[in-house]
Amino acid sequence: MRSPRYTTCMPDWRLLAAARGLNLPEEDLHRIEPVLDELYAVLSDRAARIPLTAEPLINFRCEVEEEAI
Amino acid sequence: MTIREAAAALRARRISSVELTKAALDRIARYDPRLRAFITVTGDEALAAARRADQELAEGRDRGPLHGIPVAVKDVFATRGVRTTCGSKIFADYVPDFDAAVVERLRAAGAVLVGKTNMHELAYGITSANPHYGAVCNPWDPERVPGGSSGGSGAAVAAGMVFMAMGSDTGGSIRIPAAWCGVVGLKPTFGRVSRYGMLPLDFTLDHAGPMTRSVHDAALVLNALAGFDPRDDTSSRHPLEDYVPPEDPSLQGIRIGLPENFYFTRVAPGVAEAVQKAAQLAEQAGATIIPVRVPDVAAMNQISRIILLVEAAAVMQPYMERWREIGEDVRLLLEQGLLLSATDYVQAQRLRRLMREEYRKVWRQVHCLLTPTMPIPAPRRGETHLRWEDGTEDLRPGATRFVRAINMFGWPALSLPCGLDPQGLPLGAQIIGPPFSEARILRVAAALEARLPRLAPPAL
Repeated sequence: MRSPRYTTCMPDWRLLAAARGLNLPEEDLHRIEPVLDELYAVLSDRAARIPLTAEPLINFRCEVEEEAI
Repeated sequence: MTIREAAAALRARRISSVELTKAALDRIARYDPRLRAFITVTGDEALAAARRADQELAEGRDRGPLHGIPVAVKDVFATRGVRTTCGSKIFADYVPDFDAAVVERLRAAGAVLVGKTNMHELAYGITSANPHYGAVCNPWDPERVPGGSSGGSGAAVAAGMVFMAMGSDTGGSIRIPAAWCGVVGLKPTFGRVSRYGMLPLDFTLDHAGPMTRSVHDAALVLNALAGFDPRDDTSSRHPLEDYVPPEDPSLQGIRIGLPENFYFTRVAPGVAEAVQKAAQLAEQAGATIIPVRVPDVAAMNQISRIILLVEAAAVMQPYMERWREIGEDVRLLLEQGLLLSATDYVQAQRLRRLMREEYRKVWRQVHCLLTPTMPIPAPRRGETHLRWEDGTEDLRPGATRFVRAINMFGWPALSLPCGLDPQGLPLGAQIIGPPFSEARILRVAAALEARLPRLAPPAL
């Protein structure tokens, strides 16, 4: 049995849409792909360098900046 | 006339709330068929509220500076008994049985609600070219867009229909129309103004704030709106201040950062000059201008877009069977959000924290940043791209470059008219500060406003 190879590559948005059961119109997919490609390129580049301990900011709150002058 | 001037006239009995309200309704009747700033006008209710306001003032019951003042709210805020469409056909028949917190507070302050303003569908876009309720026109040039998504609010204030209109801001939606319509737009700190009853676009990026004809008026409205609300899980208990700045305030001791990178590249003629002029005026008022370098705001914008795509798709997923009824531009954005993975979303939220750490370092050097609000003046309707000497960019990400990223951090920001471009279109300067620095931002804005030539109202 071959061991899996994990690589970071651009997702196939059409396949993803089909796999998720989304019946998106062809013309929509055509317009969506380049936008998502661009966003994903930035995300994957940055995400590859996230420190292990960095936590998501999902429960977002604003607090006073303690170090602000 | 500003809220402050109208409030003085009301108390001197030179004018009544009924007269102010009738004038507002007359102006809406006259100009709105052309501008399409309103989705719903509540004329009878407004006149009844104005009569009550006059009666209360006559009896010595004064609710404060908004008492008897005609205002409007974007059609994203729930209004009891009045339909709240969010600019979409999907919510065309939604009539809430409650008021949004913002509406409650405005009513409690005595303001007279004359209607609900038009907007970009679902607050998800910057042109306010609404396919269901009409494309809002810019009062400065009806062939141009007013900005969005709070385009109806910007147009209504600029056209003198109301003294104040509420907007919402997820990636610039208060500041964009403020800049393009030549009015003041304030996005307070995340949590400063309750979002209870505001139809959501994005749980962690949405803010509510006022659009007005003067900085002082924006401060008066913030005084009425700010405060903790247990019904909004993100509402802050941070202490309140009096946000109203003194007359022509000194900026002595205030350090204003003028970015050396990012915020002054790829801007239209007149934009950089107008903001640099504003910086000089701030210096004359006593501020120290500090050149600063900002981190990779372009990447922050992209991460912010990913969070927005996913959260907005989640908000609208229960209505998926009706997405065909949504305008094409918004539908495409919702579809994009469905294709990003849970891992992508969490990574974006992790980057959000890291990027905040990176950007917040600027607050060790300066009290606030001064930047252009928009890289261009209001574009013509139908324009889809920005064209520069070194290439083109899509209108939406291109035009929102300077306003989008800070919503990820919840920082307050204000857009102030700072002059006209060579074509005679209004330009905006943006003042950004650390959390809960609204009072200082308003002070800086008031000092600039006192020194900048006041824009004449647009010829309608």
